Order: sequence, then structure tokens, then C-alpha cells
Amino acid sequence: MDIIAPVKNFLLLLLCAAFLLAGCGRQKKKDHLVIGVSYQNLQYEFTIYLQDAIRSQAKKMNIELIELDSRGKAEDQISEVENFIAFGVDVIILNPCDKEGSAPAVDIAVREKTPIVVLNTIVTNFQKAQAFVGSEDAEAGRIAANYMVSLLKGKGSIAVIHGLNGHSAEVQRSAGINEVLHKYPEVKIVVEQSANWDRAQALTLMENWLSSSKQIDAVIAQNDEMALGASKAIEAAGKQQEMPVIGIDAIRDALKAVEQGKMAATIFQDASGQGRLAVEIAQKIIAREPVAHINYIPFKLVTRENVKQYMKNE
Amino acid sequence: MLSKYGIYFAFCLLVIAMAIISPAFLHPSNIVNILRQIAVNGIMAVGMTFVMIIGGIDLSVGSILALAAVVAASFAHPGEHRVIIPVLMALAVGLGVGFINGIIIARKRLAPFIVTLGMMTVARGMALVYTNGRPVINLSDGYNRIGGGYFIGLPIPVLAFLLIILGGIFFLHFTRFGRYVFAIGGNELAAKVSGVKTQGVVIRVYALSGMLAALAGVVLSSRVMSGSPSMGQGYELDVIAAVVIGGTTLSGGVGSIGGTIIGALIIGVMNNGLDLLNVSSYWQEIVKGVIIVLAVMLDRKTNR
Amino acid sequence: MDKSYDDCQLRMEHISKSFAGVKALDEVSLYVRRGEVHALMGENGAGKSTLMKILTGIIRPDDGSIFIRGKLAGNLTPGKALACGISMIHQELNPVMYMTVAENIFLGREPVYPRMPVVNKKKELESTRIFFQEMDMDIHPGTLMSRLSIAQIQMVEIIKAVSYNSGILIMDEPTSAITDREVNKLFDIIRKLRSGGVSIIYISHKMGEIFNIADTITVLRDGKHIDTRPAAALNSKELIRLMVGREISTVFPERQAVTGPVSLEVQAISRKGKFQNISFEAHAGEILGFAGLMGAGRTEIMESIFGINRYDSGKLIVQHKAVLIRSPADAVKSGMALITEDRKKAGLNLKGSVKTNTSLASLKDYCSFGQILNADKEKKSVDLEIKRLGIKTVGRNQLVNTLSGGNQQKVVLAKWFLTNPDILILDEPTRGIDVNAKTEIYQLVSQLAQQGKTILLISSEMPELLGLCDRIIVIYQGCVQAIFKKNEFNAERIMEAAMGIPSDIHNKGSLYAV
Repeated sequence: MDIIAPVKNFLLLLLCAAFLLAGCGRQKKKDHLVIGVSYQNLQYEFTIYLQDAIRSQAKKMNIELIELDSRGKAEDQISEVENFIAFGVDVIILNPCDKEGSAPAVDIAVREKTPIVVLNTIVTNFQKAQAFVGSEDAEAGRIAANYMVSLLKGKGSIAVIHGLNGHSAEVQRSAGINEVLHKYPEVKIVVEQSANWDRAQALTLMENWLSSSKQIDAVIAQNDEMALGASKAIEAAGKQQEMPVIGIDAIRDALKAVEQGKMAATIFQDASGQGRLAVEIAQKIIAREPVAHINYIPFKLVTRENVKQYMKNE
Repeated sequence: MLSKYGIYFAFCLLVIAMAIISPAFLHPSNIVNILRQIAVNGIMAVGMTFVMIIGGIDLSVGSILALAAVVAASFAHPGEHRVIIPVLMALAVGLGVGFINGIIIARKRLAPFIVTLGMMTVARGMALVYTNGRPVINLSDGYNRIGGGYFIGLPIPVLAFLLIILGGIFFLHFTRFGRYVFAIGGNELAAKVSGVKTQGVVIRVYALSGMLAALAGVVLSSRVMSGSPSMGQGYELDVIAAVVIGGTTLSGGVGSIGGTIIGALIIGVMNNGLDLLNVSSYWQEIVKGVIIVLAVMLDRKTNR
Repeated sequence: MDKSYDDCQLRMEHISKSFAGVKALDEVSLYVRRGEVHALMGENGAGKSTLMKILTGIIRPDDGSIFIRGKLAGNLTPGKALACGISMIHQELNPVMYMTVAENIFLGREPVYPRMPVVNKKKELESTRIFFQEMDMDIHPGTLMSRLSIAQIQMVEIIKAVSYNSGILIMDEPTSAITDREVNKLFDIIRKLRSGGVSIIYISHKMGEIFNIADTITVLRDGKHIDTRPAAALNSKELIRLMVGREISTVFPERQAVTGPVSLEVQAISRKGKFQNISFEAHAGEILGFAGLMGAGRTEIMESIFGINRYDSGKLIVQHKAVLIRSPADAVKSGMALITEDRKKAGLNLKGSVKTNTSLASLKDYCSFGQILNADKEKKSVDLEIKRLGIKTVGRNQLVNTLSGGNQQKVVLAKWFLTNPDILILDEPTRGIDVNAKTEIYQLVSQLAQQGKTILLISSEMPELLGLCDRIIVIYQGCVQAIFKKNEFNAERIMEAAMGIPSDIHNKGSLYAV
């Protein structure tokens, strides 16, 4: 993987140089906006949904996009932002990889006076950016935990499958879950472990938990991929009816599982809403219209009752 | 006796320790569990054993797994093809990629580390391009049964693994091809001077490794019921660890399928046991690393 | 103490060294005076390089003592030898190509700024410039080594050795890569050093040089000291007699030479930089010897015939059929076998057993459907060969790594016997093995010839060639220098030809037609 980054950056520089040469005259009087977007990782399905929304919105508003994928590497994200500035984009949309590691990218944009919009994931210095668009990850944890408490009627043992340790979504979703469960002393976390956002790893983990003699009444997974892995193991063990599973993100597979009753619920994070709003805000900043600094798109609980309406959106 | 079977001894120690600490460990359903979990890495490890005995290495297996998985999944939607075509397509892709690895390594005499490192990113990229980065979902029940079904009372992945083990033992220890694999690893020049067509053997070994990685991709994708281009990242290291624990040296010329199976089992038992005991994942990383080095150390010490 | 020892810069006394039971040096003594050029002469394997390796601390002697400027030097290590003022210019050059001339010369002893671990580049360059000036040489100290010609690199290596201010300087074939003009320059440097009191041990096979520059000549043979004489008291005929003259100590089997039809014809094969225009023919039942100095190109010729390396031009005819040999597999198919010079490098899989090594070249014969091993058949054949060759092993599954050198070599022979070849190429088949095993291998080789096989035998051991061969081809600098028939060859004539000295008797043209 590592050998790709320098090549990519080099190609980008070449591209920039070519554009600068070709567009010397055009530079002054552009007929449309140019937005640079740095994605955290286009190997995650959720990031791809963001990309879809940004692309369709940009097309609608006649905005040119330059898109780069930092493949989960914060250090690459910094050089990508530098390259955007060198190229002279009007606004940068940053979808950070890491809460701490991607923060310098915001500092650079602020220093170079290029407006920057932080999308989906928080960075420590997001106050310095022109705007933040996203959802509060802790809220997703709270919604999941609250629904779980109501399913268990205030009493039971829960297994929690964490995302990649230290990832900001993992940290905040954990905080939200713990915050709620704290209020219900009779609901206990009996086992918790990371499966690195990965379906196969969650499957293995759940199989091993089911083999152990621990009593588990329900499972909260911090994303849908892991929830699907866990539900596969539970299904194989024939415990589908007695052991509800909740995931987060509302990806297609998970919605299907909710519809079929294999998962109790998922939590809809509005990727298209986030992507759309980010582009709109970017356009407003250039037009010098006022924008709110923090723009939360609320999470929504998806259960068997309301799953149909989310599936239509696909 | 101990000297030759150091690693088996280490494995027994680990099993006994686990059985004492966790009563659930020896339960038959848990044993099947472990076997099913090591099937994916185990199948790849059989191929990697051949590669490492000829003194090579194949870093591209994790990416080949992903490429084969998405290719198979893309052919396995319900109503289209059910099982045979997706599996054959995947195996053909794995064989092809492995063949390219082999050709470059044997004909252009480049270091296997470099060639397969390059192929690791190329194959991953091809999987992303092929799927546009999105996981391939909605697979036929027939395909999903490969990973989830049973045959004569055993999970199908475990059966596939057993078949590959038997095949591996046969080819490595009972054929001319296997003998040449050892000869090349021990001394490639001497093998060449003895009239062995070394290039052909090397190419076939990498093709085999690619094909087995593809088979692992079929098993994994049907097990999780989707083919994702991000599957199998970092698997190459687990696979190499299993092979090395099993007594195959990085310099080549020495090794066995039996040892590799024990290596895969040690890793599988360790993962399973640590989960059963609910050891924090932070600590799991440390414990795993230490056990891997200890197992190899015990093996090398008794082999003196 | 003898009075003549007073001006001895170096005394090596009664040095002995054995490798795996074979005596490489037997009580050898060497006295080198201050300010003399002392030539060390002997055939390949006479013990010159072993003696020099001991002097430079690379290997440790089993017995004997070394005195430097009258003081006993204990166990020498390479570092200690350097500190005692002994430095060596090796035959094979190994400079760091991506460093400058100055950096190479000061490698490992870079001048630094006081109390700072930072290289003083200015001083490094300046000192190098002065060295070159003293030696009247025109190389810029800042040039990259990779930009220099081989000859220039050789000169830099010489300067590097001289720059250690060594009292004793060893030169191993220092002129192998340089032109005549540079040889003269080198000799000027040597004379300058000599007048400055430096002792030079000079190893070369070039007679002209020896008599031009040497003051004293010591001759070694078979690891023994033969004689030390002033150069003025010797001529080249006499010197060669000292180098080769010995009784043949090993018993060679009596053999009735029955030469059959031509089995191998080599027509004008060449490989650029290695050998040119090599032609000869070999007959069934004949043992054809190849003599020459190390590096003359004999091994390279055989490697090309066997398909390990391609030859650029020429033709091979095996059993009256022109063959194209692109790989050893082709050679094996044509009925050839090659027992390589270095059995550990190209002959054996040291991680394998006696069985797997022995059956490797003929594995197809023990397979059903060409692939599936028939273990019983394989074991039977292997056991038969073990018995026939008398390989001393605890069983066919013993690792070859744990066998003695002689038995390892027999495993290589067994491997090829199982392919039932018509033409066997043996490259130094008895190197590094003990006398008994040698005798056994001689027996085997002559038996094979008796059975009508063609044997090409490369050897650096004169008695081996003289005792076994029906004809001997001498290779000198990649060319056929002479071809001798049985009644024509003797040690002196072969040695002369090998050293490139035109002989008064031999006539290349007429012998070609044999």
C-alpha cells in the first residue's frame, strides 16, 4: 500500500502543473467553483455513499471536483490538502481519517486562507474550520444503547463489538453506549472486544463467544459490517430469536437483515444528507453567505417497522 | 523424538493450557469452530508452504483473496449462476495472478518479495476497480452454503481445508514436483545443474499459491455472504506466521505440510482461547506475538 | 639465533594447517628481509594463499609461530595484522563502487574533526591527493570508484594498501588487470617502497615479472617449503622444475586405453570475456584432461558446454548429431553429466538427504505416470549406488551436510551415475577430499572410461592429470594453448603451456588434427 502514496502525489503534482500551465489565463476568471475533497477511505462503504452524494450535488450545482482518497492515512491527507492549495481550489472538503492526525491539514488550510469544511468525522481543531458537517457519533451509541435497554426491558447481559481501537468513531460510539448503560445498573457488558470494523473478524469473535460458557442476551456492534458477522454466527448457532443484534450505519445488507429479522435494528447515518450539505455550505462560503459552524445531521433508529422507507432510498 | 517434534510438543502444551484455563475449550462444537476459523488461512498456508520451501515468499495472497472473492461474488447473484461458475472464475483469477507472479520471478529473476509486494497492491487495486469500491452483496443461497453449510457432518470449509491438506501432502511429499520443490529451495543452482527445469517449477508453485488464495477467497466470501474488495488485508502475515511456526525456514529447502497445519492450529487455538477468556484486544496483540516467537524458539532449540 | 635473521622483517616458522584432515601447509617457513621483493611461487593449491591468509589473520594456523620485526606475534586477527603493518592487495578487487577514491582509501579509518564524530572530508581529500602525488599518479581523489577503469581501480587498491604505511605488503597477482604501461608504473612504486625499507611478498604466475622485480624466490609445493633462492641464481626452467618436480605419491590404476569413436565434438565455441574459439574432440573410452591456471577459463568452457551459461558462437556435436544445449536439462538429455568444481555451490542440496540428492537427476525413472514417486524403486537404486561407491553413511536418509567431503563427492558422482551418461565432465573432482577417497575416485573414473564413457577431467593437480589422462588440453587465457598426447606430456611442458610460455617442442597445428 505504501508505495502507492508517493506515486499518487507525484501524479497529482504533474496534474496540477499541467492545469496551471493550461489555465494561466483562465485562473483569474473561472466560470465555476472548484472543490477539493479528501476522503478518509474509499474502501469503506459509508465513505462511498458520502462520495456519491457529493458528486451528485456538485453536478447539480455545476461545481468541479478534485477527489483524493487517503486510504486511512492521516499523513497522506495533509499532503493532499497542501496539493489542493497549490492547485488553487476554492474550498476544501476534508473527511478526516483521524481526530488528531488530520488536524494539521485544517491548520494548513487556515494558514493559507483556503476555506475548509470538515465532513463526517471530527478533528480536534474543527473550530478553526469554516464549518463542520456530520453526525455526533456519541449520539449513535446512545440511540443503540437506549433501544437495547428497552428490548431487554432494563435487565440483561450485553456483548459489545468495538471498531478499530482508537478510531474516533469507536471512541465516541463507546462513550455514548457507556453513558446510557451507566444509568441501568442491571444491564451489564459481559464481554467486549474489537473486530476492527470487519465482518469476518466479528464472525470469528462471535463464534468464540458463543462457545464460551458466558451468558449473552444481546449484541451491540459499532458498525453494520460487524453486526452482520455477529448475526451470521448467532444464526448458525440457532439463537437468532433470543439474541438481538444492533448495528450502526444502515448499509444495504444491514437493512435487508433488519427486514428479515436477522438484526433487531440499525442506526441510519445520513450519508447523502451529509455529503449534500457539505457541498451546499462550501458554495455558500464562496458566495460569502453566512453558514452555521456546526451542522449536525441527526441519526435515526431503523427497526423492522420503518425499514421499508430507508430501503426505498437506495 | 522430541527434537523432531518440538513444534507438536509446543502445540500440545498450548492445548493443555487452554483446556485447563477454559472448560469450554475442549467442547466438540468449539473444536469444529476452531477448524472452521483456520480454514481460510490454512488453505492459503498450504500454498505458502510450497512457496517458502523454494525459498520464496508470496505477499500477494491477501489481495488475491479479495480479488477472487469479488469476482466470485459478482457471478453468484441468485438466479444467475449458483456455485460452479463463480468458484471456477475465482480459481482462474487466482491461478492467473499467481502465474504472473511466477513468470516475473522465474524469468526476470526479480526478488519474490518485491514482485509479490507489487502484486499485492495491483490485485487489491483490481478488486477495487472491479467493484467500484463497493462490497458485492445479495449472493445466492447455494453460494453461501459453501461457507455456512455442512457435508457428512462437517462444515464445508473444514472439508475443503482437509482436502487441500491431503492434496498438499501428496504433491509435496509423494511426487517428483514436490521433490524438485525441496531441491530448488535447498540449492537452486544444484537443482538446475542436475537437469531440473527450475523455472517451470517456480512458476507452478506461485500459480498454486495464487489458486489456493482464490479458494480461500471463495470460502471467506461465502462465509460472510459478501465479497468485499477490502477483505483479507494483512492475511499474508498470519499465513507466513503459520508456515514459519510450522518449521519452514525463510531461507527455504526445509518444511512440511504437517508443520504448517500445526502452525495454523497454534494461531487458531490462540485466537479462540484469548476470545474465550475475553482477554482485552490490546493484550491479545502482545500475547499473540510472544506465543509466536516462543513456539518458534522452542522448535529451533530442540532442533539443534 | 642465526645472524641472517637480524634484518628479517618477517619470520614465519614451521606453519602447519589442515582442512578436514587434508594438510594444506606442512611446517612451512618463510623469511622476508627488510626492503626486499620476495616472490612466492607454486602451483594452484601449493599453499600460497593459505600461508598469506594466515599472515593476514584471516585463518589461524594449527601450529607454528610468526615473528614480526623480531617480536612474536600471537594469534593474528585481520585487525591485529593491519596494526602490525601487514597489508594485502587481493587478487579480486572489492572496492565500494559508490564511494569516491578518497573515501575508499580511508574506509574504516576516516579522519575526523577533533572530538566530533564528523568526517573531515577536506583532510581526507588532501591526504589522498598527496598519496597520489608521491606515487606520480593522475587520479582525482573525488572521483567515484565506479567511473574508474579496472586498471585504475587496481592502482587505487595498491595505493590504499601502501597508505597504511605497512612494513610488509602482500601483492597477489597485482598485474592481472593492468596494462604494460601501468605495470611499469607499479614496478616503479614497488622499487620506491623497497628503497624505503618496505618488504613486499609478490605472488604471480608471470615469469617475466618475477625475474624483473623479485630479489628472492620461495617455492612451495603440496603445502611444503621446497626451496628459497636468490632470483639471480634461478632461471625459468629451473623454477618450473622446482614447482612441479615431485614423485607421484598417489597410486593410479593401470588402464588399457581403448579409444573408441568420437563422442563429443566442440567446434570453435566462444563466450565473450571468458574464452575464445575452443575446439576439441573427445572419444568414447577416453579420459581427456584440461590443465591451466586458476581463472584460465576451463570451468567456464565446461559450464557453457553443459548449458549453465550460453556460448555466443560455435557448435556442439554429440554422438555425431549437432545439438542445441540451452540448459542443463538439455545437456542431461544428450547424455552428459557435470560434476561441478564447487560441490557445495552447485552440486549438492546440503539441506537434503543422501537419498534425495542421489536420485535428483534421474527422478523420472522412479515415477509412475512421470510424477508419482515409487519410493521402493528409488530406495533400491539409491542403496545400490551407496554400496557400489562405498559411501560411508548411516543410511540413505542422513543429511549430506553431515558427511565428509569425500563422501559428499561420492554422492554427487552417484547422482550422475544413475543417469547413465555417455559423457562425464569432472571439474576438480578431488578438491578438498582425503587421500583414500581420492584413490577411490580415481578407480571409479578409470572404470568408467573402461566401460566406454567419455571423461573430461579438469584438474589443477598435476599428478592427477599425468596419472589418469590419455590426452591433455592446456587452456591459457581462454584459449587452447596446447594439446598433448600421452607420450608427449610431462609436468614441465604442461606448466610451461599453462603459464603461456611458448614451448620449443609442441606444435599446436599438427596436434589439432588428432
